[in-house]
Amino acid sequence: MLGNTRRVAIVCGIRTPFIRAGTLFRDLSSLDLGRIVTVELINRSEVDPEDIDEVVFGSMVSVARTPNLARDIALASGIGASTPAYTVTMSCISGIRAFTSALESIALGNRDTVLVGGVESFSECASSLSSKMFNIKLKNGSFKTVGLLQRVNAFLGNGSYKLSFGLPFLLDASAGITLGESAEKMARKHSITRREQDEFAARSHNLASISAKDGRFGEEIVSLLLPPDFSTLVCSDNGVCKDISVEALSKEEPIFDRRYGTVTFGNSSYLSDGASAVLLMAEEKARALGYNPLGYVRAYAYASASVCTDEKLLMGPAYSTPIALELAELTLREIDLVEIQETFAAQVLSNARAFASKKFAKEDLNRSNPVGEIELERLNVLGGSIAIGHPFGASGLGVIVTLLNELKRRDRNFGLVCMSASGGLGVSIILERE
Amino acid sequence: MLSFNVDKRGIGILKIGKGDKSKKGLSSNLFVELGNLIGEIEGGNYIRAVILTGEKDEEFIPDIDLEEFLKFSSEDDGRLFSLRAQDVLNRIERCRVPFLAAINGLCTGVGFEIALACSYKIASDNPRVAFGFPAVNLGLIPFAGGTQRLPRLIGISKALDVFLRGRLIGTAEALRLGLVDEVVPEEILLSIALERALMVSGGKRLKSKRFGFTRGLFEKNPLVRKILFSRAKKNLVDKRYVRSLAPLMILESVEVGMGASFNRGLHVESVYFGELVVSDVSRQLLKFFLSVDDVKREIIKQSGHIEPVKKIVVVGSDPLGSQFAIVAAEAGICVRLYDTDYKKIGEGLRNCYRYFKGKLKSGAITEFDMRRKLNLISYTCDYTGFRNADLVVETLFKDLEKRQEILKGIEPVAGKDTVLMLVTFSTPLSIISSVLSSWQGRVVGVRPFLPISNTGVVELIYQEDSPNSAIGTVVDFLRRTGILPVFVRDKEGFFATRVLLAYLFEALELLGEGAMVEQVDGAMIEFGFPKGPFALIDEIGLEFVSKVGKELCESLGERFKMPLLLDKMAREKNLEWGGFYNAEGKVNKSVYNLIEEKIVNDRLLKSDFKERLCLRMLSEAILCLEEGIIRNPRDGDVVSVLGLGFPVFLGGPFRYADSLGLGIILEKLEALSHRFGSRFAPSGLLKELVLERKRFYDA
Repeated sequence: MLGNTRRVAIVCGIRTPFIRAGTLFRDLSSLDLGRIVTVELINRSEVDPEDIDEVVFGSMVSVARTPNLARDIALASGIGASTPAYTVTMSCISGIRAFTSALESIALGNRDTVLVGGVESFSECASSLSSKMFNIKLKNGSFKTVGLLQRVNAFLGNGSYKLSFGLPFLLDASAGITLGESAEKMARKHSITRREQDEFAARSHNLASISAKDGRFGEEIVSLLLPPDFSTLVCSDNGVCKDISVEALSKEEPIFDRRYGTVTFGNSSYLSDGASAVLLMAEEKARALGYNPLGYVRAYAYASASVCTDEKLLMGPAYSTPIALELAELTLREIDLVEIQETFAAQVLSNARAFASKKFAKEDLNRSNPVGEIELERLNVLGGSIAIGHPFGASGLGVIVTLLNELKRRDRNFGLVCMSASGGLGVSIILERE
Repeated sequence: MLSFNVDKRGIGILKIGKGDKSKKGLSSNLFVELGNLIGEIEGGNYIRAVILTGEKDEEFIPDIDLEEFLKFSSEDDGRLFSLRAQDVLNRIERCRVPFLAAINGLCTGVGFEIALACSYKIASDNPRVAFGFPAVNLGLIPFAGGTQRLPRLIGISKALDVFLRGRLIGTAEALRLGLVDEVVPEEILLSIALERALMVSGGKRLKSKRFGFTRGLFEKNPLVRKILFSRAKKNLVDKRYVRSLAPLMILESVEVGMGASFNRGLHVESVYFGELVVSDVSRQLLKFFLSVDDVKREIIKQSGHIEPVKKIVVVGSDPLGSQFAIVAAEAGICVRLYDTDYKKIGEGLRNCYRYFKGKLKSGAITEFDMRRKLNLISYTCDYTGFRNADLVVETLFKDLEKRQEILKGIEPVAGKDTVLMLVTFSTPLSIISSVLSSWQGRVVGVRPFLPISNTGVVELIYQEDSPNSAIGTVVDFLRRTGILPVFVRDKEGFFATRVLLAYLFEALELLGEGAMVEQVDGAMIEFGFPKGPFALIDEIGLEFVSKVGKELCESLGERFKMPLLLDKMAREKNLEWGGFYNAEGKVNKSVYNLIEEKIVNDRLLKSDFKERLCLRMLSEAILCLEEGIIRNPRDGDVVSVLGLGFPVFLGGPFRYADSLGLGIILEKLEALSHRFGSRFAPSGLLKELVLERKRFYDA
């Protein structure tokens, strides 16, 4: 993978259910969520906490109370105080950043076993902003209510709504526009229609609800009993809509441009709370301890768009994927399953277009050939963040684990995970089971 | 015992220690030695001040070895001892050379008395530092002037609180009350003490805090004082069955001392101490505490070189399981709670949460502590997290088949060193673990007493071939959770359940013969039990009593034949009928409807109740000893008192038997077995002991 370095095994991975911000996990802090997945990972993998050499966590919104979240999580989870821990951030791909940082130190032989996690609690962040409005909105988080409230708020000229209402309003400071507006521009640039976006969103919800019903997430999701009365069992993602139709989605009003816009709350992801964790080990160590790893990392690459403006904000994967494929000595054809992180339907479809576009390859990547076409049959086959939510720090690791489990179920070998982060950043990871 | 060093500035540092770690406390010779030392200090002219302090990480001054008190053979012995102590402390108080106390550890008993006599007191902020007189728990009173000095320092009502309830005072409160003059960080305690010593010896008067003006005025008023004492006395009398005279005597010494003079108070104190120290009640209490101490020492010796328990799995999240989870989390051990479905786990977690929330509300822990402790408990419905556990605590005692099935499921996922601790009330380990294969050698049993954190004792059930490592792991776990294990052999009912069931069955027999529920319960409370047998049955559940009874009857025979009444209730499937007492605590009259004929109604007397119930217990306990279920009478007494609530001032069944006289017991048992049949038949061991004129204890 990285010349003559060690191969890294993903031994075990789990996540909490992903929950709409401000709902069930209202009272759990990022520390709580992180601790829960860490303790559970230690128990499920049966790893001796003394064998863990380092703990790395990724989180986008950090809270002043826990400046080095990873350390607090590690200590609260019974990992020895002599094990170092650090926290990384890289906006929406913070969890993946933690993952690759750990990967590097294992590959280089600095560490044998690293516990990697990602956690995001927007509820905690919201309560620290103490925005009453935010809480009201989040408690009844259906699409319609949001639209209405948002409009009222806009009408009242309350400028702070951009910060407080949902994922599409997150602002990219360097580009000066929100992610949602960027998605809108992307859709226009790559001529993606409203219908296409709604269809993709409906597909995401339907695939996710089928997968949940079939118990395909069963192995990786940790069930939680919520304090203080421990009678509510949270065992599945609560944002997935069953039997949602394209027609229903098409009734949603566009968020930014009421007449010509295409991006709605229905075809974009939402703020969520959740945590995930994976146990990484050097291959020989994993074998020595008798583990049968979920899979290995074959290659990965970070890249960013050539310009960081407007429609390029979430196009990172289109830049990073060809590099990762090259490092892995594979072509897109050989990849069995592809996951493109769904922040907006428009963003997934734009990236997929860019993969296939000769023009994009020539102009933006300076390559003669495009990466290739991704058929829907191998793209996000278990649904994606539009349905199950996008807790930034946590979703990347969740996708990796889901993909590996699904590859195992289908008995296939290669998987590709692409994620984009605001600022035009992208990462692509190529996983293999053998 | 005393170590005294003087530095070049003339400040002496005095440490009073046991000298030898294996000793349990100071010898009563302490005051002779201390007296001599004071003579030397007074005589010389190079010592300017003395600082009293303790060894690091130990008590400020260890207490007198309780065995020393047992050596006193008459009231005069105790009185003379007290007079000497008082004299020495008076000399410290009035010495030309000022004495300062630098308190860096627990300061109770003798240590507290000596500290009170010092002219300036500095405490370290270590949380272990606390002040108090636990003497009242042993049926004794302070003997070196404590009853006089404390009320003069902190006021009468506070002092009575400390004396009568045996309460400990922490440093913060001590400073507020003026009990100590300063509280300083632990690290600089000695240097501050040296500084103060130099100041005092230089003739400077240190401002010493005295209790508030208004309170002083208030308590100096003879009328107010009279009301104060008479109310305190009434409170004591209100607790109807106070066995020990110690509280009353403390009260009187304080009253005399505050009313008349310091010296008159000292006189009363010494007389009363002499009386108490040879009284039956306090002798039994002393012996009992020594027994408990003995067991503790044995346990510490045994768990010395064992790898400490870091993680346990608790199987079963019903109240019993959650109690184990709680005590483990309290001790900082990781817990994984297993049950078959999340609903049950939720209930268990709720119990744990409520427990810690309650402690938070009472101010015993901080929110941070609560979170940290609750965080130690994780949960699961599948068999994950078993392999790395040091100990699996299995608590599904209610259903043998279900527990065996679950155990079979766990066995393959358990680690190769994981020890299995079965919680059982009567079913022997050999039966429960018969379904296991590779786990066989690592099974240890525990018979808990509920609630486990309050009773603080369990029976630890071992098999002949139980390896030491497995027993050691369980002992380590129990020791760290503050639970005292007492070893018993693996046979139906072990010790406590057998003794308890014999007692409860006899109570049911009495009921069948026409006794009233409240009469029997009242008689046993009078005897000294915290609650009567029927209230106890309600607590355990009649169904469980009858189930265990059946088991015991099958294996131990006729002695545990079901009482007719219980048999009848069982047959009519009437076991969940709401109990002998209803929710308001009134007797449930419907129980009398089940009794058809009253057999010997007119011959039932209250004293009869006590005798029959008590002798039934004693004879079962002696039988257990004969069969080798318990290793010695001491173990039996410790379990009976701590676990079953046997009156502590009687010292436990074996001590009580000794004090009654074994011959009398044998006679009575024979008479009872003529009247009521073989269940009272005296055991061979008892006959043998009577024949050889021996007792259970030598002393």
